[in-house]
Amino acid sequence: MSDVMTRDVLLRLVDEWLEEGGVVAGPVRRDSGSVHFETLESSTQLVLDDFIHPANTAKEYVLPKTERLFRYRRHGNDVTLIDEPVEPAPILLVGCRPCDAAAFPILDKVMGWDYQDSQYYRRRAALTVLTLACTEWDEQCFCTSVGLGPAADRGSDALLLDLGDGSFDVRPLTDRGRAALAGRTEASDRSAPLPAGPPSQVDLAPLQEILRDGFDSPVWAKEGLRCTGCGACAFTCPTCHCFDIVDETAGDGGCRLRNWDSCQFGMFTVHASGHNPRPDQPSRQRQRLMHKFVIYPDKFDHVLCTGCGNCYRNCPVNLGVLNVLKAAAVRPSAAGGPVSRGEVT
Amino acid sequence: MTWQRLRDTCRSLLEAGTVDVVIGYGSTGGAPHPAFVTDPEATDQLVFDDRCYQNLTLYLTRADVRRLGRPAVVVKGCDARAVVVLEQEAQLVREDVHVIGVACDGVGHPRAAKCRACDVHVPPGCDEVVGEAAEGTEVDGRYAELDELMGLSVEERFAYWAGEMERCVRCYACRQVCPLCYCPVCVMDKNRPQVIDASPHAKGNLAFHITRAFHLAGRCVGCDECTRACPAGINVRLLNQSVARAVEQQFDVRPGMDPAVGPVTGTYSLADREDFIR
Repeated sequence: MSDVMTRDVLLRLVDEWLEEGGVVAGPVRRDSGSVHFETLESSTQLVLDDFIHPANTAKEYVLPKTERLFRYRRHGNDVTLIDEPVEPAPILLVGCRPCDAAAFPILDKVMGWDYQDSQYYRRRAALTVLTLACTEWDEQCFCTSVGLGPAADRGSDALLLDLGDGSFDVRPLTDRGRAALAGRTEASDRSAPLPAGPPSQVDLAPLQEILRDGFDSPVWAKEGLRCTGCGACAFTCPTCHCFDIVDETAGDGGCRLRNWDSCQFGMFTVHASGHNPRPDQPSRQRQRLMHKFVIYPDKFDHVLCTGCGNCYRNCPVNLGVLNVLKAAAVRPSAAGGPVSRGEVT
Repeated sequence: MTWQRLRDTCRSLLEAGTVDVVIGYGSTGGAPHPAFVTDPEATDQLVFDDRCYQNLTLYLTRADVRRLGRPAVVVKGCDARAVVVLEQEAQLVREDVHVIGVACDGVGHPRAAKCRACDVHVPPGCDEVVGEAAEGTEVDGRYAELDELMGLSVEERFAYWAGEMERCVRCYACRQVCPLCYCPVCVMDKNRPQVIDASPHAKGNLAFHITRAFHLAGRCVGCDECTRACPAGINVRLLNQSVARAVEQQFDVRPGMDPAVGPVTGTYSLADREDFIR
């Protein structure tokens, strides 16, 4: 037996959530044809078919691209700080991809490690994640290589599997998921088969050892030289969470904001002296890979990657984590192998 | 076959020592991507097809690429115009770069917007051109998309741009892929004092995009890599076109089309029109 819900009922849930003053976000198709995860005004905008992954991710509902932390006002030599804690309305994420949902527990760890990030956790506590399992994937999807899959339920409050007849096999996973779906499902003897997903493309355990030894590997220069140094990969990554803190002052007052930042920017590591310990794109690409597959896992027991493939799809020069990982997976000492042979980066 | 001619050309250049590195499009099976070939044997990985989107002249000014030595660069028609502007702006010495043009019928499926209005299918000003272009070279409607936008009321246009600016995440992909955004320190990154708000909010984004468009006035060659690179899907092209059309109307200049015509913002002529200064 399983719980089944029709599309119409799901769309009604969206509209009712909106009518009650909540926020709903889901995949939306723009005029240009590309799909983006956006705040909905109505359930009619929701797109649940014919896309692999939105061009962005759902992370901005817990970690916005820019947010005010507090205001300040100066009086002579004194400064008054004005706290402005966010008080988010209940947020429903509909049609979240499993690789986006799985990022939330990953972000939770880093945001609650030595300091409980209050802004993040207020948003997180307002979140209900209804994940839509994938039925198709492309060459850039590698969820199965990082311990996830097209129906992975990590980070979701409920998992929806498309039955292909206008309804979903619904699997509530948490109290929050059960609460959102209460009274909206019917018992049925139909259940969706679990999708297989893309074949696994890299074996992480040996790769992590190669990365650990590979700080001076020629792979970084070969793969990283073409990197343009933009932040498209980081900003469309469900797990990248680095931020910058800036003050915006006007007259005697102002505010402090936190904005997304990317390790691919030269400014990310430049010192006040002008020295930059990561002087070029190869060293920045190395950092990106090391953080995702060595540094974060050492601390939090999971790779900082859900295999969504957005870093490739959004890369203007077709780089992406998977390509660099695959190149790194071949030890440079393997004579005749792709790395030692290649003059093409 | 174009590929073979391209590979043979690059191989000869490397073998003869004419150049130290070929900046071309490489593929080992997947989609082509920018590649830096220093070994003649590796020229067999060079390709050219309609997925070769990138404007490789971007790399001519990059310090880490310059360290590879004297370059040859593979260019499409739009990219070739950037070489001209880079030379005019003293960012490269033309004789020090071997420019290999590839005749181009356009990129993308369907064809990218810039290609549907392209009149430089055969790259101008190259040291050699490989292949032949089948598509026409005279196209009307270069500004058709802009005309459509300008047909809207001011309020409608502002609403359109406010919505687009809302999407910008300040990843700076548009800047990073632009061969003419070569400043070692971009004004966006100046923070002592902060010149432009770094935050991706409405005010900061508007300031960024307008500044960016103005800094490319009389310089943008319309390769449109900025639009393609934008992960938020912002049609950056419309801003560039708006400025490019003003330059074309007022100065009769399309940047990079003619090496003999100097840069608009760096050239003074008594014949310059001034009736638009009010």
